[in-house]
Amino acid sequence: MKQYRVIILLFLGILGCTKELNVDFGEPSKKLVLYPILTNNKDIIIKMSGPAGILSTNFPVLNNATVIITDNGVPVDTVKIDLKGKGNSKIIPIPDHEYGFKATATGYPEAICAAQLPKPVETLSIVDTAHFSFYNMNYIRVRLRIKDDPNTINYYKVTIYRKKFVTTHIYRGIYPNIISYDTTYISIWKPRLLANNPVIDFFYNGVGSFLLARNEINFGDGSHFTFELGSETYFDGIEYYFPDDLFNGKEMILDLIVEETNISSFPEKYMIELSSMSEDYYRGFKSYARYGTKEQADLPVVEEVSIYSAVNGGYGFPIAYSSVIDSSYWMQQ
Amino acid sequence: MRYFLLAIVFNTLCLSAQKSVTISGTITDFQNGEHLVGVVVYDSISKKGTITNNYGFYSLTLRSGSINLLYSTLGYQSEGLKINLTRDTVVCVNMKPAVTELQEVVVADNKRQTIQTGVISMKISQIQNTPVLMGEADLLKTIQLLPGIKSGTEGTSGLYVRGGSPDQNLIMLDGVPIYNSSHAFGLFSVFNPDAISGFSFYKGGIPARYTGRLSSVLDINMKEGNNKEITGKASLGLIASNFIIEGPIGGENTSFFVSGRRTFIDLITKPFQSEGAESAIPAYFFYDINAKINHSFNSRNRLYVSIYSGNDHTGTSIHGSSQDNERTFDDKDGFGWGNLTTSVRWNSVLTKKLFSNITLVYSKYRFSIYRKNEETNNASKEVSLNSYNYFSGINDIGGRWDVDWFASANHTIKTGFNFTFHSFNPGITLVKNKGYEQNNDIDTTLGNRNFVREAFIYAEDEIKMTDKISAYLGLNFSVFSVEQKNYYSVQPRLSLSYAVTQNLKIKSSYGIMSQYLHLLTNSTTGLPTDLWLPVTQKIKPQAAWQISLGFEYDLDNQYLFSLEGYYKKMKNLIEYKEGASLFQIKGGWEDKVEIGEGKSKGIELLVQKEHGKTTGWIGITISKTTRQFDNINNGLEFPYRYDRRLDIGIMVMHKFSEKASVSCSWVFGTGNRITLATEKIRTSIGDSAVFIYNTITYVKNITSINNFLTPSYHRLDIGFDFNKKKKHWTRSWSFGAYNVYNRKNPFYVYADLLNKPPAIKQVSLFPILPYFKYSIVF
Repeated sequence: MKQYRVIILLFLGILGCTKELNVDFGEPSKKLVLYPILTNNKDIIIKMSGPAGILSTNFPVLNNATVIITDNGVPVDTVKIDLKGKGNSKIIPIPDHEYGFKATATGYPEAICAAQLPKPVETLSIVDTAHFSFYNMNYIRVRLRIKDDPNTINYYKVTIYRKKFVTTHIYRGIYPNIISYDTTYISIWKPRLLANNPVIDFFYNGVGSFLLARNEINFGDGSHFTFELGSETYFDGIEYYFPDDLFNGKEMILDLIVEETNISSFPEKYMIELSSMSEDYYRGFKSYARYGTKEQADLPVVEEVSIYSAVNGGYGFPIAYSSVIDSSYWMQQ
Repeated sequence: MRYFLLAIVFNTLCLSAQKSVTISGTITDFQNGEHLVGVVVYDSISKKGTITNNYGFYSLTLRSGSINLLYSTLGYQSEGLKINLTRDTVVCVNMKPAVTELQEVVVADNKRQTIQTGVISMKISQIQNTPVLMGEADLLKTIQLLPGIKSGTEGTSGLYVRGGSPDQNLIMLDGVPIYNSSHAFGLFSVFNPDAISGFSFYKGGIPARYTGRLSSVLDINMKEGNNKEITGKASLGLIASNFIIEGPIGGENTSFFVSGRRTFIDLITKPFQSEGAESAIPAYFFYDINAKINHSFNSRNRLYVSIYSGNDHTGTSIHGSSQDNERTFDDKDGFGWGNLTTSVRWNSVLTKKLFSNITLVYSKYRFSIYRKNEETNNASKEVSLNSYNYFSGINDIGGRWDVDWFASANHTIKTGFNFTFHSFNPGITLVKNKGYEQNNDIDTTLGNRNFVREAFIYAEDEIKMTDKISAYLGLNFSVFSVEQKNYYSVQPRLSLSYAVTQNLKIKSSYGIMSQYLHLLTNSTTGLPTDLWLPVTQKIKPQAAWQISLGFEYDLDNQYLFSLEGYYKKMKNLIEYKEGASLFQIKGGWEDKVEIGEGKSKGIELLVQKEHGKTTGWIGITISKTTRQFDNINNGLEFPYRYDRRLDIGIMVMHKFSEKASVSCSWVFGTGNRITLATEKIRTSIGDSAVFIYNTITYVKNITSINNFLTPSYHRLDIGFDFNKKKKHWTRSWSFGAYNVYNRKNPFYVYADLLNKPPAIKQVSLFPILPYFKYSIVF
């Protein structure tokens, strides 16, 4: 039986082995990476850089990097990019204007992209807030109404924040008498999204996953709402990202439900931020999100992800979004 | 002529000289009574011939007068028949297997008679003797050594035929489609070579009687069972043990065949699976059972019933108590997958020229994940239960009727129809909770179930136009009904063969193929989580056309040289969207896929030697395969993952004597294509992206999908067989080694940017792996 034991041990000893490969990828491509950032009521910011080799530890420094901004085809500003790759314009973008960006830097061919700032969402209002308990857990519900414009393509992002409560303040009984809050809002982790009396709902579906609308949201028609288009909601643990065809001109009631493990007797301020995003921003964000999912995967056999690019002659995409914010106070009764 | 039996001769009509008369019958193996497929029946005087069909039946219509018939096929002694044919005659032949290589004189085998391009057949003994991983002889792995057929990643049994993907291969066992053809995550195929009597593989000119897949057809016949005597075989290998038993039941009219195979890895690892331990090693096993029974009612009617069942299972089971001994728990989790197929076939010789076969089939594939946590309060005896079950799979029930009409020596016509009801379960989830206090029991079922219908009719004619020119004309018309939508497909199949000389042939084939099923897969490892799904209103059927041209040269009836070129175009292929993760299998699959096209072209050279003490083949493929999807790679064409430009497969087997033989195979392939970022770019996706993405400072930038060619793959396997006749049985020892020179072949390659310094790393799977197997045949 000796040979049996030897062979069995050999069989059990099968292990994958790893070795390094010497691969010469050559020089990284000579293309500019361009991210113009356009938001409502803020100056345009431009971030620009160049690609580095995959095994390189440093990124190249751009020399003489500038970006010419046009508004409906008319040059309105020339932005110099600093050595950290950032430039500020004095232009505040106006919705529906076409902004063009032509980037140049020494040693790189020019890169061009264009963007429109989406209009802010017409209607966003917090309908009410409520508190309820379920299985000894406390929840706060923030109900909001969104009206989608049927004539424009809107991509949405919904975020809920809570004003961080400062424990040293003096509470005087009603919220207008509150002395102080922390100066920053914190975004709420894992809000649960419901839509109009849903049949099926989820607290969350794993951070970084795309929730397909199918089977997951009921829009009150008495049956599961089925999307024939490629509608998918992205939830990254804090924010929900919606494509246009999810709302499709409807007026929606959304409930954001927050698990409150440490209910205080003090009033809390909640802020709902609803952003309408440009298509390039949405598609770019989706590619980043898919990239993040891929990078977090346990095994390297997951499909690789290309980062979305909307820059002619370069990489990157314009980031254009308009936000509206509504807020509400809630306190334990 | 000693073993030639003229079994039945009876008169039907008295015909005058030079009138057409028909000689027909069945051809069986002398030793076990199995019907022989593809035997060439050839009259050297009229130079007319035919081939036995899948049930060993032949029919040849000739002018009355003297005939000199020769029956020949690989592995058997040729038999001759000289008679003066004056009337319709039935001749049933028992052919004796060639005992020595010199007896095996094949003047014309079925391979040399085939009109179509890209048709492969080989002796089962070659599969049984091919050295493979862990010594488990494997039909699919042996086929992978042939030109035009590529393997996927290391050790897996998926077939990539002429630029196609594994789901584009119609794999049938006794006429029943097999949906998952692999065990152990693709390391072994489900086909136990000991249970197979023969197979046909088509990668070029696919006959019209087959449809539903784009790239190839593998039609496998299970053994019928020895109707002469009880025989058997038992073997013990490194990871599995097998048995076969077959024999007659109450005479020669009824016989049975049963075989089984089971791994025993779970038994070996059992000592390491300590109960109550959190880190229990999962137990794994797979098994196959093949069973067949056939009964001959009379010389014209025969019934076959065959069953295949195979399953894989892995899981853990933990029992234990809490430290204070107040509670006991019983936790089980795992997953499994398997096929169950059944077919009932009724053969009937309707007339001397007409053969009918009616088949009823049932096929089931199921994958399941389960988890059950049960906790009992020892004092109160209250039980809390949490269980989760996920199922997916496909059930088929259907039937077909095939009629072979041997109209004349120049026309062999086949026609028939087929219908199948498919039931798809893309994913059903059952959740049960039973708590201490609430005692609520929730049972939720999610997922869509699709019932779809598929039907087709076909007709094909093999025409001998002149002594030198033969043609094959086939037409298949299919319909697929899903979600209140009907898809139709007309699929012509054409082939032409021209014999330039007696030894040199030029062949050409053209065909259109359609496929109504998609395999949703996002990995290269053949995981059972891959889902078979039907076309829908939104996802259209896959379609392809292929044209091929080949030359065949027969050198002294010893070597067969085949050179073929092909071009194939495919459309409506599906791929997961970029970034799809390994186990992302939840509903709404239509929204997770992209639809695109594929192209493949190549040249294949095959040199075969099938007679003599040394047999084997050399196969060389030079090919290029690409894909194009609007939303992948910015819409630009990119190389397919298995776009290996050069593939070589060499298999050599040498028989020293009846007691000893050696076989070795060597494979070489230029590397697989993977997507590897060659550069990285800084990120900036806006201040409002508050979560993880504002912590990412750079991302890997992909300039093109599948841009990186992994290092070449090559491997040598060697096996030795030693047989010895004992008093009551023959014993056989098989030894060998996989990857003899311990080549570190790439399993996958990735960029490791987390460790310093960053590097490109390759992971290899199998080093040199010796194997052994002990068998007894009685």
